Amino acid sequence: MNILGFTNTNILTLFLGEVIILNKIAVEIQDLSKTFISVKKKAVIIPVEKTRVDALKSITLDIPKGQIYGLLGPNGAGKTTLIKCLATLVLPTSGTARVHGYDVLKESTYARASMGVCQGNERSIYWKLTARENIIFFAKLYRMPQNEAKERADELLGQMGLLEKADIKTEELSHGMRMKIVFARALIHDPPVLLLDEPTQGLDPTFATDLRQYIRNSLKSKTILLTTHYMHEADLLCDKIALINEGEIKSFGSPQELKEDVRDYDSIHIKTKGDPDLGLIREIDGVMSANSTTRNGYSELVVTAKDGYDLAHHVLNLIHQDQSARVEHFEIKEPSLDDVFLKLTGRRIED
Amino acid sequence: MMQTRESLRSADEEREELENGYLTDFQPRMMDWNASRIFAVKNIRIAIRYPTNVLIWGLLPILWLAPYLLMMTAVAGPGTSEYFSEVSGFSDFLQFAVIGWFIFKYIDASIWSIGNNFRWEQFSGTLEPLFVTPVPRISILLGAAFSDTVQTTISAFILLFTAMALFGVSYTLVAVGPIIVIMLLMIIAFYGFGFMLAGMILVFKDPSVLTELINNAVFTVSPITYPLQVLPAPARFAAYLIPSTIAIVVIRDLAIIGTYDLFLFLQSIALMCGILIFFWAVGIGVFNYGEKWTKERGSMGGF
Amino acid sequence: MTQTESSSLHEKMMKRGGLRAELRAANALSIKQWRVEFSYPLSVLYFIVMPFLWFLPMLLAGTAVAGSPTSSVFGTYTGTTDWVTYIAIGSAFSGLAMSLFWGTGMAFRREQNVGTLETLMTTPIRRDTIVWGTMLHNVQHGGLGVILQLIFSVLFFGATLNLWGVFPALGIVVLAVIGMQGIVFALTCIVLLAKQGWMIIEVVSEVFLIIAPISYPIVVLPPILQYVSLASPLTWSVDAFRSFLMYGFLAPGIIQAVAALLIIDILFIVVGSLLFKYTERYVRAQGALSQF
Repeated sequence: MNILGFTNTNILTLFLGEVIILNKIAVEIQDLSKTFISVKKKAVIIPVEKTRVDALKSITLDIPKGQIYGLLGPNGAGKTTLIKCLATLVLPTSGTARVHGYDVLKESTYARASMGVCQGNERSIYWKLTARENIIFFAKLYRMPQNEAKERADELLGQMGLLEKADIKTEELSHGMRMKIVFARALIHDPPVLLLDEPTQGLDPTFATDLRQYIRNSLKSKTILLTTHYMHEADLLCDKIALINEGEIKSFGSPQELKEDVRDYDSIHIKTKGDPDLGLIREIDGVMSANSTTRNGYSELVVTAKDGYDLAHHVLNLIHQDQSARVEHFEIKEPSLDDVFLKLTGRRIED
Repeated sequence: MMQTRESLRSADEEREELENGYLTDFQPRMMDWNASRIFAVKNIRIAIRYPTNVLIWGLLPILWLAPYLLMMTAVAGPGTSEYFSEVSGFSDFLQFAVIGWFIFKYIDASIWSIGNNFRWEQFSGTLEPLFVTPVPRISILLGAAFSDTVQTTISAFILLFTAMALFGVSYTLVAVGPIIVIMLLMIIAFYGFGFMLAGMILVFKDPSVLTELINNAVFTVSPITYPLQVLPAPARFAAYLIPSTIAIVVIRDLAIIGTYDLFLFLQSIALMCGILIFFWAVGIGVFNYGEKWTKERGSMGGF
Repeated sequence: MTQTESSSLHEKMMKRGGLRAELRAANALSIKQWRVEFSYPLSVLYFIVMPFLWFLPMLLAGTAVAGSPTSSVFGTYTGTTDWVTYIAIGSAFSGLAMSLFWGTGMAFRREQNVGTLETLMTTPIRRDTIVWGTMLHNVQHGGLGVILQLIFSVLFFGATLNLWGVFPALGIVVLAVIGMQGIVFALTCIVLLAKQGWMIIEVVSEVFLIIAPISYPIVVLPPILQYVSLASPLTWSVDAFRSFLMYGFLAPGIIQAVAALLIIDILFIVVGSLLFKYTERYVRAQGALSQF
């Protein structure tokens, strides 16, 4: 063991770190706040304009070991700032955070060594290097000697299905492949904690699905904090979701809990050719509301009810009997996370 | 059937509408002077917002060029040397060099500003919007060149006056008219030179190194701090292929002595005109080739 | 990959660390930079031609006033009439200085421009290792330039070198690099703080080069600048480097130069490191790492 690099306090914190891991909290965020003050000089003249932006307002969040937590919110909500504070890229104004038991302010080297950060930005690797060169380079920054780094590169690129492309310059690969390399880079040192900032942003659906499947299947033992503004992604991957807006956690819970909170009814969306009789539909037992919009001889009908699946065949039967309309498309929508968000903040995530 | 006829008619109507409007007199042109003017005005407007840039670009070259004079002083003693007067025909090498720096500003600008203009636009993220406008790209370059001349002239005078004060040299103003004529010819010839570089930079995607290489090579063979006579013969010949060389020689004589042989002067003017036409032809040719080259390979935006 | 294997990978990394890990990282950074540079074909050409291009105008300007490769005036200023050798060694060395000031000073901006700075910052290496690693690259890059330029000068321009001085001259390079790294740390701070930092770098590095005895002795400078010059590590390193290469192991005035260089080195590297440490923290507090 390399005793030289370890001072007494470090050994102590290593020990404390173990205790916290035993407690099964992998990421601990406490009262974390970040205020940006941007100073705008007006021309060369002295008076300056100061603007204050509270990007994070006293965020507290604990992530147990092995769980995937999602941060969901619109652009500018503070998701990325939170990730950057944890990744030691931005110093918080107040509050503390520990990753794998290490304080991100006081033991930032250990904290950084314990996490893999994947910023969903294809520019975060070197385009002039090949996939393999990129991974080997970063592996050495994670203290690996050349031979280990090489092995690790092969292993990771194999897992990502990129072995054949390993020796092509990254700039010549597709966006999706580059994002896989970016993702693989974050896994180099096999960190117990992963911070994924919009990992599937701008990816085509196949690549995004691949990546999500990888996260679900191969990274089960990892503790993951994931930001996204794709609701179905959060829905699919996350054990718990924190809805964040204007620097605050507005709501927190499992996807199911969040959705149940917002409304306890489903909506049935029906597209018909012709105009169905709304009056008749409204009379069906259990229907809460029914509305339609008509355009070019087609109607979009929205019916809400406590249990959409129960009611669906009643509504369909009725339209079927009604000669004036023919069903073209039919869908039952459960409340989505977007609805949750809309209710909490008055704005949609994908604004 | 009905529908087809209907759509035909509507297409006719559409065409008619267009013909009444903007597209009637739209024809692809070799050179869009209006676009050049608009582009120049845009660049100057931006330049006015950063007035310190012109000042800095006037003063920075002193830091690059002063070492030459300090070195010459160390080698030959202050101000002059027998050998220098013999070779160059001038007694004071400080006076000799400072007017050279003034012209050097224009050389520098043609390489860095005109040649690299598309690169600067790319940095500001406005290159692609510019390239999708129906304006010949050479017109955009010409506009950029013109606005650069305005800025360069201010910087060059700042450089000239500061250096005159620092090194205690002065010039005669007897022959301002001929100087201006030569300067104008040189500036316009440099536009062609800049087009040529812009075309090369489109092809070689490595603009900083290419620019540095050309800049250094041009600086080395130009009679800026030392006379042409110290160059080996082939290099002297190469020097005359640069639009500024004749201009420097003539302007230096006019600014230091105040007179120039009329016949020689007219001969220089004729030569300058020849160089001007040559560089415009080569410049436009190389640029068009470069544009075609990148379009074929689809690497326009990327460099 | 089984669970035990994977956790051991992380544990292994945690147990490493210390100076060795930082050196490995610095070396990786240097190799990476070489690979990036060689992916631009013209830069390879530039690298070979550069020595000519820097030295030629100087040589021509000197020839224009001296008319021959020796000058008695120069001898009274410097103790040697061989101005060609004097300038050849000086300008070769200035290539190393430029490489360090520009290459390393702008490293953060370059990484930021390509988008990799934040990625580097999330790895467990020390932040100043990023600067040291780039320095390592530029010492190799600039050092190769110095060697090439010296060889060219000897082969084509009639410079003469004393080969006994090569090893002590290398020692001077080490001392020079330490002092210049102090300046580079300060330049990095400027790059981190100011949007148009490159312009300040240009001015600062040009000033350091002007007041250094690269192609002329400092006695030709105005008196005030001569005093300023004595506080610059570049001044002492260029002089000592050249003395060794011109006069061999027993170069005159060398003890004084080395002593001065040692003192200035300590001063510069301490101040530079501290500046960097606090600036880097300040920038992270501002949250401006990605958008400076």
